[in-house]
Amino acid sequence: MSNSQGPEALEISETPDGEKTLRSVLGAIAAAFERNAQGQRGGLSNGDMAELRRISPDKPYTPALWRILLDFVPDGWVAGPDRDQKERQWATLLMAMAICAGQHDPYKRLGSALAEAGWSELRFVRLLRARDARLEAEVRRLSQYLSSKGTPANFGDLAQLLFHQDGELAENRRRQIARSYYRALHSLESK
Amino acid sequence: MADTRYNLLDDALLSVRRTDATRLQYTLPQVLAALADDAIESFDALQIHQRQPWHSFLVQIAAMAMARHGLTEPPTDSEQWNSLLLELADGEPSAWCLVVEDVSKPAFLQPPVPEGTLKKAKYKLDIESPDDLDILITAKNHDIKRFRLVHPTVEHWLYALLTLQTMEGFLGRGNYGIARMNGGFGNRPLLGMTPGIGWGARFVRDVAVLAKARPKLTDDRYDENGVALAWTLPWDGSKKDALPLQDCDPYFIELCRRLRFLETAHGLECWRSNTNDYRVAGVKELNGLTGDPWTPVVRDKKEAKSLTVSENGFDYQMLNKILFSGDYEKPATFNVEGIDGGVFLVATTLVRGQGKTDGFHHRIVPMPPKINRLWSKPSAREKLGQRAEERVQIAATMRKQILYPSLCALLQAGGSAQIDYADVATWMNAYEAEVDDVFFDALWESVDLEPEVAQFNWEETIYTIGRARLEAAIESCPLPSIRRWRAISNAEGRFEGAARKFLSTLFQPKDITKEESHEQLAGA
Repeated sequence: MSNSQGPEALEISETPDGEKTLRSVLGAIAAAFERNAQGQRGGLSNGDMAELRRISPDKPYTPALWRILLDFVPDGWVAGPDRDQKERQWATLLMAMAICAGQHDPYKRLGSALAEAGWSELRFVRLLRARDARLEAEVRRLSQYLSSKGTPANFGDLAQLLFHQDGELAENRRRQIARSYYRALHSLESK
Repeated sequence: MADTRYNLLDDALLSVRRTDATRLQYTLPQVLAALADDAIESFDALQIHQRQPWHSFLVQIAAMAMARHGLTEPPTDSEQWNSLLLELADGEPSAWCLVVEDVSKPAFLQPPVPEGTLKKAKYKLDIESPDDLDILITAKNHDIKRFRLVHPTVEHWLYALLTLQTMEGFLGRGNYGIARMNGGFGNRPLLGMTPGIGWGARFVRDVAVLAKARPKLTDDRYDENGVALAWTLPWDGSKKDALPLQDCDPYFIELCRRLRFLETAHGLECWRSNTNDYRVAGVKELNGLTGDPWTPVVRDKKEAKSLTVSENGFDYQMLNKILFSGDYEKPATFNVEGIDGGVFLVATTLVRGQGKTDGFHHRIVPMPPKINRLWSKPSAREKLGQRAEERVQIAATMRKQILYPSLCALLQAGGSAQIDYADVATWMNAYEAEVDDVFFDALWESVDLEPEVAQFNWEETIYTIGRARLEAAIESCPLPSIRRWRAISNAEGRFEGAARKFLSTLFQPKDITKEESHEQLAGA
């Protein structure tokens, strides 16, 4: 972790009125995953983690997914007519976080993390263009790559990529990620 | 057929819509009386580009007629106008008739033919409709259709004739232009401040302005009782026949072409003949400096000349220079003394191109009462001018240093392809147009603000407009999909970086709070 505050600091990021934010929820999940990696109490079991890592487009739902959704994610976030779709998106995100357990860093933009890890521009563009099942596949590749490089990243950016796939908001989120990717790429190239 | 037909003084040839919504046919004296009464809403057959010559014509004849009788207010009685106008033509009623068979007599805007007959004077019949006569050069059917007037009325001919005779420039050998224009390819812009933009309000105001400016012009270079209507004198088109300016009334109605109308069983015929020189002597040396009450004079290091508006028209940069820079001598109609409320700056011209028309430009800039008050104080006007200039510079910085490089970065998409201005012109022009839209309103609003607050607000406005144009470019410009994100990131990076560097107040704000009513400039 490059964040000197440590994982515990992430758990307190709630709004003043106690409402959970995506940042606080992901922080809490990441902390739980990291406790497992460090063999501490209160973490997920190795079995749960393995289940999450095995999530695929064919088998998105596992008991571990439901447990995490129930324990950490406010019900309103996944409720609604498109509940299936939202659950699949959460499944993909948790799969990526499980593969990269211990690497969540809210202060490291996903774009710059990918650039620094050497993720090619071609793959990066493919990631930003992908939607639905293709995006799930890209996210799997990306998380395996980040894991192999041990590069920390903000998985909140990845969540934005998954949760907003169409419309102006999606465009804005992708542009933010692109901005940090190219800024880092530029500074690496000009070194 | 009668010897004379279509008499503007006696025949109700002009269709008007009155402010009480009634439609009537008026004689010229009735038009002048109704204008003095502010009772005219519009002239039905008048085309938009013909409004300027028509307004100038009405004001000029009114100013001349009134001056000769020492009248200070325009009469509201048409009978009085009738005799005033007749007198202006030295009692020759044919001078106000469109068709006069006897070519040794003047007809409306048509000088007598000293040669005796049209044949001897080599007049030709090659003008088929008022469209041919008018000054609009419409080579293609893009903006305005050619040959629109299939069944022209007398009114259409009258307006086209007036537009040609008082607005046209040089159009090849034998076709010389007016004196109130700098160079044969220039134009005759009309600019003025007026308390109202209706026909009547502008008429009354401009007649008063012309009356006030008259003594200086007659002292300088005109004859107080000189030629008022240039077409009342015979003209053979030769160099020696050119009319010296000092023999004319300062507001004389000039003409530039030899024309004669006849009426046959087929209708009106318009005959024309070439000339060997300008109607007014020494036009080339004049540089358009005729004391025209509506035209600003440009003074650069070498010489003075009357303003020629470019095809860009009256954009904010141009108007800013005319209003505030010391390089322009303001026309008489810019004097707002005696007007208490707000005023409108009206600017109109038809820009002539070579072999084409470069657009009819018309702009009205409202100036609220507080600005009008500032305008009459030289020190406040100077300060306002400085602020305006700073704002033009900020807009230019956005254009040149921020938006343009960002658009180039976007189109280059990380490659090294050379980007021409034409490639980004769409968004640059849209930026300019948006700045133009808000420039003066924002400037007027800023006068009560501290300089730094005003600058902050303007930089914010400019930043928002520039950013919106970049967004529009991102959305609409074709980018190779593989380099799309790189292109967008580069362009945004360039934009934000440059904005932070050049928009100093917006991104390095000091402790600025909006001041409600400082009357910063008003107090000057």
